Amino acid sequence: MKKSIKLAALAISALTISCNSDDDLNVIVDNTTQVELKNHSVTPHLLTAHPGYENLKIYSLLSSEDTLPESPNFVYGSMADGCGLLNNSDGTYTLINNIEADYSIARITLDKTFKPVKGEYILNSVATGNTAQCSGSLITPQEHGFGPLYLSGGEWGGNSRNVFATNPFKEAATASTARTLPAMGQWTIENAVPLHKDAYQGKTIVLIGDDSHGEAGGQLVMYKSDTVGDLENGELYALKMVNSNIKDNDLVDGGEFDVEFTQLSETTYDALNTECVSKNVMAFNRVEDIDYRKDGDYREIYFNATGRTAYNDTRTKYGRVYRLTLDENDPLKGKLRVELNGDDLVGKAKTFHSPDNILVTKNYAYIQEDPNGYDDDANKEHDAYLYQYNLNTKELKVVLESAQRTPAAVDGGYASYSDRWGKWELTGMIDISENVGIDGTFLLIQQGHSWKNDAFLNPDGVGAPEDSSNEGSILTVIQGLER
Amino acid sequence: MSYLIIKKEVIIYGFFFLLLISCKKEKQAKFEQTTNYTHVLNTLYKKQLNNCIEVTKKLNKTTEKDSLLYLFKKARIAFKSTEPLMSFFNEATYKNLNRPNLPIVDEDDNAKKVLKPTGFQVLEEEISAEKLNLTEINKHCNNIINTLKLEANNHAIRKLKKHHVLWMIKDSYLRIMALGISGFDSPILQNSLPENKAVINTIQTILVHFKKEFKTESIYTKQLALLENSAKKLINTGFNSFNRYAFIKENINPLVNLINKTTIDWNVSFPFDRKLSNSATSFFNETTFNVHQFSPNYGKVTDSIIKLGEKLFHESKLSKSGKMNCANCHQPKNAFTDGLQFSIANDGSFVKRNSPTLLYSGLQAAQFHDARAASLETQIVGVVENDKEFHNNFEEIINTLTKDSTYVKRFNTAYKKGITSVNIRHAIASYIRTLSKFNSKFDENISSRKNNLTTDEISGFNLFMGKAKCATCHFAPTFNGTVPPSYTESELEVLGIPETIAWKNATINDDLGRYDVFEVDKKKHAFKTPTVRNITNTAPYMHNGVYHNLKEVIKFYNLGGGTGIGINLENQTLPTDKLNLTENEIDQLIAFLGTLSDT
Repeated sequence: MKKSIKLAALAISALTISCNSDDDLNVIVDNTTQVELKNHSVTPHLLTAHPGYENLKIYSLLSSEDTLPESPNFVYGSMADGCGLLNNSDGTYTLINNIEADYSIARITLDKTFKPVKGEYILNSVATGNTAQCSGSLITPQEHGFGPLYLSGGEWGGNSRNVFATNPFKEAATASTARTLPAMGQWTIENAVPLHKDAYQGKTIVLIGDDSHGEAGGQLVMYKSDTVGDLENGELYALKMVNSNIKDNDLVDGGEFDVEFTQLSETTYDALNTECVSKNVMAFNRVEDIDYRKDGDYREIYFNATGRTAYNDTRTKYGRVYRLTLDENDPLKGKLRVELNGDDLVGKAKTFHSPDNILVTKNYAYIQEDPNGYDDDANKEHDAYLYQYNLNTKELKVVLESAQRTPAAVDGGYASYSDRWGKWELTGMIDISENVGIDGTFLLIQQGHSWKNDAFLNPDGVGAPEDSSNEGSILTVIQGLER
Repeated sequence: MSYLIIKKEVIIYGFFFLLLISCKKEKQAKFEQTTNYTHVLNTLYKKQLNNCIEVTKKLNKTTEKDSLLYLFKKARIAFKSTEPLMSFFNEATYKNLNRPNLPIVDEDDNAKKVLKPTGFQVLEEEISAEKLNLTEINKHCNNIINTLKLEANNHAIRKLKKHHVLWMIKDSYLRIMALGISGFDSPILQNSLPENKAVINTIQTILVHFKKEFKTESIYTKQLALLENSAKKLINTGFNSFNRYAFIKENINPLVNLINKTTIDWNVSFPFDRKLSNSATSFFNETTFNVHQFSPNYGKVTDSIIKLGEKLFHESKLSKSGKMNCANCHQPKNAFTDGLQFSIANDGSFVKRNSPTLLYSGLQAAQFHDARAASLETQIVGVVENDKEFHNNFEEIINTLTKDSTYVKRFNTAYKKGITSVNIRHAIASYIRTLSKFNSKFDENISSRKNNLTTDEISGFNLFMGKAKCATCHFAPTFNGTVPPSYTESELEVLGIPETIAWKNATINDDLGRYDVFEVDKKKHAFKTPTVRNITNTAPYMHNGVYHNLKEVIKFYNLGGGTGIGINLENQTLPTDKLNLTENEIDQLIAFLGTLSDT
């Protein structure tokens, strides 16, 4: 009897979403989990914990130089990015992971102990026309009321500017065909993040971050359908300040500002930008990742503007984290405030250097950096940080940093001391506590932008090697962080 | 398990009911097919895409040089047929298939990606090579096929409205004029004229689908006739001998005018305006562009704002010393330049670069020679805060201006918030944006407002747009490097400009240009392509003012840029081939350039 409950519990796909919420309401945390967190990769994790976090357990699970027993030809490719984890009914795990610089999506199987054993590509560079799949979001019945489906942002490269939709369980033999979601519009898409089904019952709402910095800026876009599961027939909206004279830099002095989502009728990239300018849509400098708080209401949204050295008289240079609180009854209304401001060189976020991805749990936001390399302020000249932001006390701490300029990395041949600080990027963090039955467990990915090896080229096995990347990625698991 | 028990009568009635429904549905489908334009265009588009896929597949299987060339041209024609729809409904796909054979440099983020280009222009170079590399050819064919397949399987044409059709066609005309007939995307084979005929043919097909929308039939028939005439002009003419002047004057501009007439005839109202004006009647008028749309959303522009901006333009109080204002280096009487190689700094020394004209400067997506400012508004910050220029800050400026009651009054009249940094810059920028008159002798003639160009001047224009390849970087009608039809990107090029005038063994000028902004190697010595309008009045030339006159400038290009004078940059983007312009052709070019002065 007990066994079948356990199996039943595992069989409820407790699906964790990349950069998104975990399912913390329906799945029983299993005290007799078979998961053993340990190093499975031949590559060391190259992360240094900061003071206060020395007790974190950090392990490297998989890297580009590993060979997996059930798929000896599989290579974990370049610039691994957005991901999502599923529990399979047989106790194993499936990780869907964007392999950004190889323009593809991989599916990795982990055994019951959480050891990676098999990898394959379910979407390849032929399918995407060499479009980079950036951040990703897993849609599940428990979380969103439909699915499973995996959304990824087509951000750069070939036929970019669309949201891609991939069935996580599709046959690898069909890896050469892709499906895009034109109803979500053409943007420089970082991520498409569906809201929790309980945020607005009976609706499917997806927030999209536009990672651009031109005259229309990066917009925060909303796709909304009044039919659950409909990703084709909904309407598009974008965030604007109710008082449209307020620009990004006007938000930093404190206070909450009224916002609304104004409807857009265009469908193509330039027309949408021009429409946004004509409708006073708020222009940020590069909206990257988005996530919502797992508080049961799911209407408290956090998102990053990575920043850029353009339009700095009105927009951020070093990056900001914003909080958008959506109205209880109307998703098109809300309030916006700046939580963390990287442009305040003496404030609590003075070390901020291009915050990129964000993961929000019930009480914390975890912010991952992708430093652009601005060398005009000593506080910002550091390697990529992972921050922990306490949503209740508003305290900001650095959890760990990318350690590619240390002896472990250099002697191992992964990087060199002459690399520019901030060269490696942290990304793809998701909360997998519910999946593995161990509280405070997360996945975090390192993009080793200076770890180059031609053995990593063309892992999806199609297209030309020179249209792929030779950079290495490291997938790590971290246990001991608060939620 | 429950069962549904169906009575016999219900089955019979149900059957007839179903018949009725399916009949109605069929009629409805036919109706929808004739008036559901989204469906019509998607069907056309998909057909064109599949056609291009098929030809490219054939090309991919070919190994023999002559067949390759033949099939390549066929594939290009098939691709160009998709241009009106693809470039409008999925520009990213279009760009991916038709980009120049230059590395794609992403300065945007940490990874500093430099990607290899693919698509038809790269394929053109491979197929034209002395020694064929079939692996490369196959690679690019496969990339093209995959991109086309992704496009064909995912409908980009959605929620089509009539105004989209008009935008699409007008954009297509601009693309034909500015990028098509100049050979911009067929630099080696220069098969641009037949290719642009294919574009014209698609526009004809599209218009025919919309025949019933025309209330005035003559507007419809005139367009079709003019398009037919355009197609005729584009065949059986050599690339160099094609009279582009006549084509733009007699075909393109009138076609633009007819689109304007169509707008009125269809009773279309546009939801918003664009940089390319919704009511443009030609490509060479003052009303062709909405100049104030080249500005970020700082607010409405009024006459009083423009006048205030002009006053500020001459206001020395903006500088710390009280002795310098914008007009010092941008002198209105000197085509808004100062005639010097380098402008004079506030301490009597020289600044780093040559002062560019402000005429038409508003019609760009970036400012400064290295494109480091995204707008005129942010460019002004650069000047104010520059130690060698205004050496000031906006807090000081606001204090100073606030002490002057005239300014207080004028600012409060023009702006809600009065004297602020944003408003000061907005006023000046708004004034500068009005310096785009399109009233030169050339504009007057090509728009058929006058008819007094000499044959040399016309030949010069045809050289500019053809053999001399100037228009492949200096795009008509602005003749700058901001790419039509969207005007969201201003190009930078690496030419290989020398330190001093030398025609062999020259030394590269040590100004690294764009490299200093993001430290990306490929951008060393890269500078923004400026306009050549008013060029007769804006000597000396280049970012370092190295050349004194246009003969020297053209000689530089004629030799193949830096490579031609002994500077061998790894990243020169200007094609290194000699242009082989004769003395007479050079004189004609200069004659044409002389007609680009505003009156």
